[in-house]
Parts: sequence; structure tokens; C-alpha cells
Amino acid sequence: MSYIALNTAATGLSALSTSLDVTANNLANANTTAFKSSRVNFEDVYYQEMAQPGLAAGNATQRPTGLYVGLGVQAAGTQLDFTQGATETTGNPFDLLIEGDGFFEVQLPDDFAEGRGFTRAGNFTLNKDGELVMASSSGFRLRVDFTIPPEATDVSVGVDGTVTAVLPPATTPTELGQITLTRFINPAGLESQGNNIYTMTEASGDPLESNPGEQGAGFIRQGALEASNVDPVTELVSLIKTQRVFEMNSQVIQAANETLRNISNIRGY
Amino acid sequence: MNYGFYLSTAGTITGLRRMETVANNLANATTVGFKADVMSMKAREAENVENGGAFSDANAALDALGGGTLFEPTRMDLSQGNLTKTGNPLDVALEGDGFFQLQAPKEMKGDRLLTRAGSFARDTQGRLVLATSGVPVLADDGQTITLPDDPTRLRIDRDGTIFNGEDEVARIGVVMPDDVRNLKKEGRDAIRLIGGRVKQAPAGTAVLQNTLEESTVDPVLALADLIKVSRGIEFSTRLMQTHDQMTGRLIETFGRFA
Repeated sequence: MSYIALNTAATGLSALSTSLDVTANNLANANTTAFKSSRVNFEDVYYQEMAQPGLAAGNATQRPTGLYVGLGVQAAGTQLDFTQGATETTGNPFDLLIEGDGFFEVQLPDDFAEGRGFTRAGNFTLNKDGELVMASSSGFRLRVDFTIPPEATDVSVGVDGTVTAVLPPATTPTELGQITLTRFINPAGLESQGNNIYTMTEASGDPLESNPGEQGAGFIRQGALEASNVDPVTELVSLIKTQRVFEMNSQVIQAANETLRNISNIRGY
Repeated sequence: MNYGFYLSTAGTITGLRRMETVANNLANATTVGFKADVMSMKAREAENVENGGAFSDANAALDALGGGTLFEPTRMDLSQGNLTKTGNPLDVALEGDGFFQLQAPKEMKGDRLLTRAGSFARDTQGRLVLATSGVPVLADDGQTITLPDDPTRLRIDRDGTIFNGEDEVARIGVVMPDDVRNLKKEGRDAIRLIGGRVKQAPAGTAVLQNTLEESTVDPVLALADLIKVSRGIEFSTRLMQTHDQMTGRLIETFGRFA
């Protein structure tokens, strides 16, 4: 019955509205530091077999394949796109950019995701204890084993993550510590937690910590930030496509509805 | 009941099936690697011919009575979909004829699972899988593909060979079914090849990295089909009403003698 057509078109509408939600979030974050865009992956659902292959097809012939009708579409999942965003030079000494693979590890509340959060948003700032914290509303602390003393001047972060500063009365730089980066075998499997934070999942694999520039991890650039990798043009094209296909699917619902009315009126003259 | 009533019924039923197919095509208008289904009809032979008889002049009128409409098996429109660039190194598209192979469950015996949906991903075991359903993709030797732990520079050649830097990892298998009429959709991006007989993909077929193949559904054609099909059903149901009215009048007219 065309109930099938009604349901099929409904699966289209619901999958497409998921796509609309994701596009909306991408566009809203087109200016968020180190934001990674995501996309929805669609797949067709099941096919209903109306006639089996090999059945007689009337004129003493056999069907090589059967007659099947598909039952619609579903959103299989969202996938993060980890391509590098553009570089924005800021000159702020605590703005760190990861050039290449990897994440900074930040300290989350202990009862949440084992307290381990990962971010590429390198806009850090100092708190009153001299710790590097994220400059976002959450203010999570960067996981390093050093603090920056209040008297330190000329704090500099090397491409390999070494942090040095001049501590008066000395006039030459002293090494304070090391910032490490964490990589994942399958970063697309990370879970977005908002606040620029990702947490590990079964799918992402275990965190692999290394110094910047080693074992596939990227380098660190001081005084720069990674821009969002959302491409507004791509997103707007996807928005247009989604909206139009949404409209077409609602046309199918109208047509199926009209058909059902025709059928139910066969005897209604 | 008079004969024509059933012909109109057959028209209504085939119309409904076609509408369902159009609905599925439109629902999958943005599904990566989706091939539109084509449902075709054929005229049923006259009753006499279908029963093995021959045309005879005496019964010309009856012999010529068409038997309504029959379904042909569902076919797929295997034409090339549009290619779009993406940023994901594990997005691949096929340009030209051929299919990627998926790992088929044991119950399928000799049948193969094929797909044109090249949105691949890497699972926790490091295997190359379909991003949507997580089914492993097969190499040209029929084995699953394990990607290196440190994919610093993953590159996929036009012939499907995956390189990690300069090292060859595996070659993604691309095959062409012996007979495309044995293809049957399984859902979740998989197409089942009954019998599993394949040949080498044509030499011109290229594997393109950072690219996805869009659905082949043409929304304009689909909407035109939708209009045609819904009007067709309307005609058929009107005719059913007419047959019903005629039968009613027959009963009214001749019933008075009883």
C-alpha cells in the first residue's frame, strides 16, 4: 500500500532534518577557534521483496531478479572532519596553534570521561596560580607539570613544545617544562562535548601522547590560532540541497495522501 | 464481476508500487553512492496467447483483450553520479563502471556484497570500513584492509592502491559483476550479487581520493514520475468506480424482472 510511500518519505524528512541540524551547528561555529565541522552520513534502509527471483513471471518466463521496494533512508551517523583550519596570527604569547595532528590534553572534572579532555583550541590564558587554562567559559586547565611564575617574562613556546621564560634577576631564559600533544588512531571516533572539548571513546582508540613533532604529532606555533575549518560555501550549498530535497519528500507525502484518499473513495460516489 | 474491473485493479496496484519506488528514490536523493531504482511495467499478453493458444479470426475481439499490466524486475540506474570533493582522505569515489567489495556474512555462501558508497572510515581494529554501517571493505585479494597505526600521509592511487608515505599498504578491490541483472539491493549501502560471479573492472575505472559520488537520483525526473504515477492511480480508481456503477445499473435494470 502507499502507506509504504508515506513512511518512506517520512524517513527522508527525518534524516534530512538531522542534516539540517548539523549544518546549522557548523554554520553557527564558522568563527569558533579550532572548531571541526561534521557531516551526516546517510544510508538506504531495508528493501522489501515483493517477488522472489526465479518466480514465474506470467508469460512462461522466469524473473532473473526479484521485484523489490526500498523502505527509505536513515542517518547512519555524524563524522567529524579533522582537516586543518586556517592560521590566524594573534601575537598573544599564550595562543598556541597545532600545525598537524594532535590535541592538547586538558583536565576535566574527575568523574567525567576519566577527567581527560582533548582540544585543539589553543587560546590559553594564565590563572591566578600561574597555570595555563583554556580561555573559554569552561576554563579547563592544560595538563602540564609546570606553572609559570608571576615574575616570568618573555615566555616562549618552541615548535617542539618546550616552554622557556626569563626569571629575573637572571637575564637568560630558563626551561620551565614541556607541553605534549596527544594523537588518536581514529580521531573521527572522538565524542564532541561542546566547549571545544573532545573525549575519547571505544571508537577513537587510546590516547597516544608524544612531544610535538614526534611520532606523527604536529608542531606548535606560538602566537597563532587555528580558525574553524567550516567552509561557509560548502555548508550553504548543503543547506540548499537539504531544503529542496526536504520539500520534494513532503511532495511525496502529499501524493501518497491523495492516492490513499482516491482509493478509499473508490466506493464513495 | 466484469473483466475490466480487474484490469483497473492491476493498474492501481502497479501504480502504488511505482509510487513507493519513487518515494524511496527521493528519500535517498542525498545518500552517497546510491543508485536510483527503476521500476518498469509491461503489458500482459492476451489471455488466449498466455495460455499457449493462437490468434483466431473468429475470436479476434476476445483474443485481443489485453491482460492488464505486469511488473518487470526492479533494475538499478547504474549511471555515474556527480563527484564532489571533500576534506576526508578516506572518502573515495569510483569514476566509471565497477563496485567496491564488502565483507559478506557467511550465510551468503557464494554471493558477494558490493557497494558504490565510498565514505570509508577506520574502525578500532584499524580496518578500512564503510563509515555508515561499519562493514569491512575488501582488498583485491579478498582480504580485509588494515591501515597502519600511524597514517601520517595516507594516499590512494587512481588504481586503488593505498600508500602510507612511500610504503604500499593494500589495494582496494574494484570488481564488475558478470551480469548486472543479478544485483539486488540489501540496504545499508550494500548491493548483493547473486551467484557472485565477477570480472575485472574496466581499465578506465578510476578510484578518486578525497571525493564522494553523489546519489544518481534525478529529483526532476522523480517528481515528474510522482505526478504521472499519482494521476495514473487516480485514473485507475475512477475506472474501478465506473465498472462498479455499471454493474450496479445492470443489477437495477435486470433485477426488476425477478
